[in-house]
Amino acid sequence: MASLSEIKSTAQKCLTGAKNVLSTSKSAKELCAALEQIANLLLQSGDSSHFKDVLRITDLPSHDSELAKQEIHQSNYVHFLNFLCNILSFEWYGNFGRSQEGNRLFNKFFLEGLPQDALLVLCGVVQNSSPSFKQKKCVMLLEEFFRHHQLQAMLCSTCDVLPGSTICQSPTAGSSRSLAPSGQRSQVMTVLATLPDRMANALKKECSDFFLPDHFIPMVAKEILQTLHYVYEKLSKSENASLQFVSELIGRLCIQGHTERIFGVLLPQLLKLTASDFVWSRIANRIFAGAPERSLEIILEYLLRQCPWYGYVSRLLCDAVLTNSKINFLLTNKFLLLRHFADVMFPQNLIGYLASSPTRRHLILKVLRSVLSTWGDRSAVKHTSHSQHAYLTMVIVICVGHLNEAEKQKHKGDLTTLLMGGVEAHLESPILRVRRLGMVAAEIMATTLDPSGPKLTFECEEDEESRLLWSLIKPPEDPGLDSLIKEMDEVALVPDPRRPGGSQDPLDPRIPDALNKEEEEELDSDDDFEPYDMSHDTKVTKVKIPVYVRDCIDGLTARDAPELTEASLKVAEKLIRAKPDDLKDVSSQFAAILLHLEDQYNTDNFRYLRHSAMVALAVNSPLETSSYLTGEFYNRNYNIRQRMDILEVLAAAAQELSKPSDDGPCPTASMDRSTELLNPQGHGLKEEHEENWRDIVEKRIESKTRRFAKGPSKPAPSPVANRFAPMAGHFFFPLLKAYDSKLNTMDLLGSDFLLLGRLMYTLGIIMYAAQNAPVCRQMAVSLLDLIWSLRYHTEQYVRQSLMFAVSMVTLSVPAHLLVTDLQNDILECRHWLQDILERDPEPECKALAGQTLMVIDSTVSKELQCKI
Amino acid sequence: MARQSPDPIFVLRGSNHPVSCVKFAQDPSTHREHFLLSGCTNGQVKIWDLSTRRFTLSLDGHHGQGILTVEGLTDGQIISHGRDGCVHIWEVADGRYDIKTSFTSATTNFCPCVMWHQHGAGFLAVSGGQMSEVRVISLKDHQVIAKLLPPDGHKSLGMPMCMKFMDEKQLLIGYEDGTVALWDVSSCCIMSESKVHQEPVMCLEYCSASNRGISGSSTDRLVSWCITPEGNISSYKEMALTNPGVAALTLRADSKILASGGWDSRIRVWSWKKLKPLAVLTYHTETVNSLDFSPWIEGKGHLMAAGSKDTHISVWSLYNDPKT
Repeated sequence: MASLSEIKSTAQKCLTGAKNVLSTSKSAKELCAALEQIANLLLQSGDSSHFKDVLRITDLPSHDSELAKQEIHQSNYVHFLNFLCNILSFEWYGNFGRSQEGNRLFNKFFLEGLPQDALLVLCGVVQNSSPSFKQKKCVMLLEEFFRHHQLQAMLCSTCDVLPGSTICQSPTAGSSRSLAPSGQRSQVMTVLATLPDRMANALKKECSDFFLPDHFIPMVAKEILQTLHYVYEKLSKSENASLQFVSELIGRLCIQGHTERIFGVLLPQLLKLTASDFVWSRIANRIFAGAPERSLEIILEYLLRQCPWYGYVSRLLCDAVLTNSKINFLLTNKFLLLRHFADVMFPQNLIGYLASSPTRRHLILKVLRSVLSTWGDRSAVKHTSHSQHAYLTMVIVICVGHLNEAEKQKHKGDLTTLLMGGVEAHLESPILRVRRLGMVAAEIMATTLDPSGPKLTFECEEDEESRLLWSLIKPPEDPGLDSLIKEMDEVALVPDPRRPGGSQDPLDPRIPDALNKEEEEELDSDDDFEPYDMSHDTKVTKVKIPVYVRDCIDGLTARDAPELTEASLKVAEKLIRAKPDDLKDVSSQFAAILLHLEDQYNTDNFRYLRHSAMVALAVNSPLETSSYLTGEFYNRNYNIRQRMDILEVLAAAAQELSKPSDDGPCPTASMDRSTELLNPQGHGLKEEHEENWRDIVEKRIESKTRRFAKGPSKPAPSPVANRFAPMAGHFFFPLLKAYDSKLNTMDLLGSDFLLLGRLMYTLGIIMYAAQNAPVCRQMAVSLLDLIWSLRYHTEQYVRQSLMFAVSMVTLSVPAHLLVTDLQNDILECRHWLQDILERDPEPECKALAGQTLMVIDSTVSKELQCKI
Repeated sequence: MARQSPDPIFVLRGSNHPVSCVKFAQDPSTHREHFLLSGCTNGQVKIWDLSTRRFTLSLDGHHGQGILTVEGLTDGQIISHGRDGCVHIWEVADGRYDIKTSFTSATTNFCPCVMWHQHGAGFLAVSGGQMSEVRVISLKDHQVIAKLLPPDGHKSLGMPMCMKFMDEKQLLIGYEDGTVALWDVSSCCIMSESKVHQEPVMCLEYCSASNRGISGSSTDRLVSWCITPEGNISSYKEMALTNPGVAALTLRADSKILASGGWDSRIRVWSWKKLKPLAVLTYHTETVNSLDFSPWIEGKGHLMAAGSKDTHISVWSLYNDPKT
C-alpha cells in the first residue's frame, strides 16, 4: 500500500518525465502520449482508473485516491499550465502536425481543469506576452473557456458552501470550497471585472468582438443568471449556498460602469422570477444586500429607475433598507435630499417601496418630514436649483399619496405646520415657477390631508408641471407582470406590418374628397354677391365714445359710469396716437390718471389697454411723460404693480421711439405735405402739366445719353431722425437716482428685489434703445457702476437681470469704448461672469453667464481685429 | 377694398310714432304702382305713395293700440292687426275707407297674424284665447277651420311669437320658449318641433324652394334650420351677430337675399344660399321693427323697406343690378 507521499513523488516523477518529453520531443505521437498521461493525472474529469493506471497503483481505496488526486492537482496544475504556456510557440505547436488530437489534448488542459486557475493563467499570459502566436492561442483559449461555460462552473463552485459550515448564505460564511485562498478569490474577481479592459490593453486593435464590453458583460450576466438558477435549485433542495462572490462580482462590474449591461440582462429576468417565487426574492435580496457598499448607489439607482412598478422593487429588495445601513442612508437620505432625478418613475419606486410594507412604513413619515422641512427651508428654496426643487416637490406629493387615513389623521397637525411654513417661503420667491410649485404642492397636500376641511385654492393656471404633480398623488397601480413580459417580447419580435398601410388607406381618398366638395361649392355659387364694407359693424355702446383727448380724460375719471370709462380706455391709445396739438399740455395729467387707473369694472384686456395707452403717451409726448413716470417711480404710495407698470411702459416706449418710423418729422417730407395742403386744387393741376413737359424733356435727354455704368439700383434708405436720442437721458438717469434709498413702501435693495430685477431689465432695454445716441457712453458708465455694486446679489432673478444689462451695454456702446474707456469695467465684469459660470448653483444663471461672456468676447475680439 | 356701405334711396319721415310694421302692397286701382303700408305704435295705419314719398291715407281703427301687422290684399283690401285684439279688414277706395270685417285675437301677446292666400281663397292664422293657441280662419266665410293647441301633457311652449305659412296645410310657429314647431293645419297636430333657441323666437322666415328656414331670437345668434324629407326640423347653420337681438327677418322674392333687422338699429343683409354676410346698413338709431322686400318693380328692382322705432321708414335698393 503506497503512502500519500509516495504517490505524490511518483506523480512528480511522472510529470517531470512528461515535461521532458514535451519540451524536447518533436514527434506528434510522443507529445500526444505525454499530454494524455498528464491529463489523466491532473484533470478531474479523467476517469479515476486512468489516474491509477498512470501512477501504477491499483490497490488504493477510492477515497484515498481522490484525496491523492486532489493533492497532486493542487500542487501541480497551475505549474503545469504555466509550463505549457511557456513552451507554447509556433514551432512547438507545429510538432502536432495536422492531427487534431494534439490540439484537443492541449485545449483540454485549459477547458476542463479548475476554471479559476485556467482563467488566471491565461489572462496572465495574454497580458504579459507581446503579440505572437502564443498570445493569439491564449486569447482563443480564453474565448473557448467562456464559450464552454467554464465561468458558470466557477461561479457555481463559489456558491457551494462546505457541508461543515453551519451558517447559511451569510456573507461571513465565505468558506466556499474552491476559492478559499482569499488572495486568489479577489484576483479572480478583479480579472473578471476588468477583463474587457485588460484584453483591449493587451491586444490593442486586434481585440476580438468577444471581449468588447457590449458582448462580454451581458455574457457574464447570463452566466450569473445560470448560477442563480443553480443556487435556486440548491436552496429548494434545502441545501446551503453562498451568494457572496456573485454579489460582489456584480458590484464590481457596476463600479466599472457596466450597470446597464449587467442589469439589462438580469433585471427583467429577476422581475419575472421573483413574481412567482419567494426563494427568488431572497436570492435577489441577497445579491443587493451583499454587493460592496461602493456599488450600492449605482445598483439601487439603476433598479429604481428601471423597475416599472414599486411592487417589484419591494420584491427585489425585501427589507434590505432595514438591515443594511448603507442602503438605508441611500434610500432615505441621499437619493431624496442630495440627488435628484428627472424621471418620475424614480421617486415613485422609491417611496412606493418604503410604503409597501408595514415594517418599512415608519420610514415614509420620517422621509416625508425631512423632505418637507428641506423643501420649506427658505435658504434651500433660494439656493437649490429648480430641478432639484421640483424633485423634492414630487417626492412630497408621492409620500402624501401613500399615507393612509390613520396616518393622515395622526400627523395632520405637524405636517400642515411644516407645509405652511414652506409655502410661505415659496410665495416669497421672485421666480414664478417656484411660487407655482409652492402653490400646487400646498393645494395637493391640503386636499389630501384633509379632504373635508377648508379648501385651499390658489388661482394658478394648470400647466404641465402641476398636472404631473396632481397625477402623482395616486400611487401607481400594478401594471401586471404578464402584460409586461408580453410587451417585452412583442417589442422585440413583432414589427407590426399592418399599421402604416392600414391606417392611411381609408384616410387618403377621403381628404381630397372633402376638398373637392369644398371647391365645387365654391364654384357653383351663383349668388356671389360682392359684400359691402362691414367694418362699421361694431359693438353698440350706450355711451358716446370720446373723440378728444380731454373728453377721454374726463371719461376715465368719471365716477359710476362704467361704460363711459371702458369706452374711453378703449379709444385712449387711438386718440393719443392721432397726436392732437394739446397733447403736451395734458400728457402728465393723462399719465397720472392712467397710472392710477384701477380695473374697477373688470374690463376685458384692461391691462393691455392701459399699458398701450401709456406707451402711446410716452412715445408721443416723451419728455413730459417720462419725467413724470420716472419721478413717480421713486415716489411713495405706489404698489409694486404700479411701479412695474412704470418700468414696462418706459421700456416699451424706449423701444418704440428708437425704431425708425415713417411718420417721423423728416423735414423735406413735411414741407411737401404742407404746400400740398395749402393749395390743393390749382397746385395739383399745375404739377400735372409740369410733369408732362418734364417727362418729355427727360425722355429726350435719356434717349441721347449713353451710360457706361449705373449707380446703385436700390435707393439708399431715407434717413429718419432718431426720436429717442434726445430723450434717452430723460428715460434713463432719473431711474438711477435713488435706488439705494429706502422708502416705507419700497426697499429695492431688500425685499423688493423683484422690482430691482425688473429695473435692471428696463435699464438694459433703454440702454439698447439708446445705442446710437451720444449720451450712450455716460449711460453705460453709470449702468456698469450700478451693476458692479449689485453683482453678488443673493437672488437669482437679480443676477440674471444684471447679466442682461451687461450684455445690453456691450451691444449698445460703440465697440471701441469697450477696449478703451470702459476696459476696466468690462474686465471686472468678465471676472464676475466667469465666477458665476463656475460657482452659481442655478444652471440658468450659468447658461446666461456663458452667453453674456460670449457676447462680450465676440464684440471685443471683433473690435481688436479691426484695430489690427 | 370693399365698397362703402350703401345709403337708403329715400326715407319716409311722416310718421310721428315708432313704426311697428311695414309692407309693400299693390295699388288696387292700377295694379302696377306699388305703395307701402305702415303701422305705428299709436294704432294708425298709413298708406305711402312711393312716387311722391308722402302718405296718402291714414287709417285709425285700433283705439290707439299698436299695430302688429298690416297687409294688403289683392282686391284693394287691407288687413291690419292691432294690440287691441282686433284684426280688421279695410275696404279702401278713392280716399274712402271703412272696416269691412273684424276678427278677434288674443290681446295678451305680440304675435302678428299671418295670411295665406292663393286663387282667391285665403286663411288667416291668429293667436287665440288660450296660452299657446293659434286659430286658422278662412277668409271666405270667416269660419275657424282649425285650432292649433299643443295636446295635454305636452311641455309648455309659452305664447306663440311669430308664424309663417309653409303652404296652405302647413304652418310654422315660433314659441316663447324658443321652440319652432311645424303644424299640420288639417289634422291640427304638431308634425315636428325643435328647440332651436334658448330665448323666445322673435321672428322666423322660410323658403319653400330651398326647404330652409331661419329664425332669430333675443340672443346674438341667427339659427338656420332645414326641414328634412322626413319632415323633421334640424339645425343647419348658426350665424353670430355683433349685437344681440333680432326683431325682423325677411327674404326677397327671388330667394337670394335675406335681411335681418336688429335691436342694435342695424339691418344686416345676407346671401340666402350660403348665409354669407353681405352688408350692414346703418341709418336708423333705434330698433328696426319690421322689414319687407317688394316684388320686382320695373325700373326699380326689388326695394326694401325698414320701419324703425325711431319713427322713420327707410327704403333701400340692394343688389338690383344683375351684374353685381
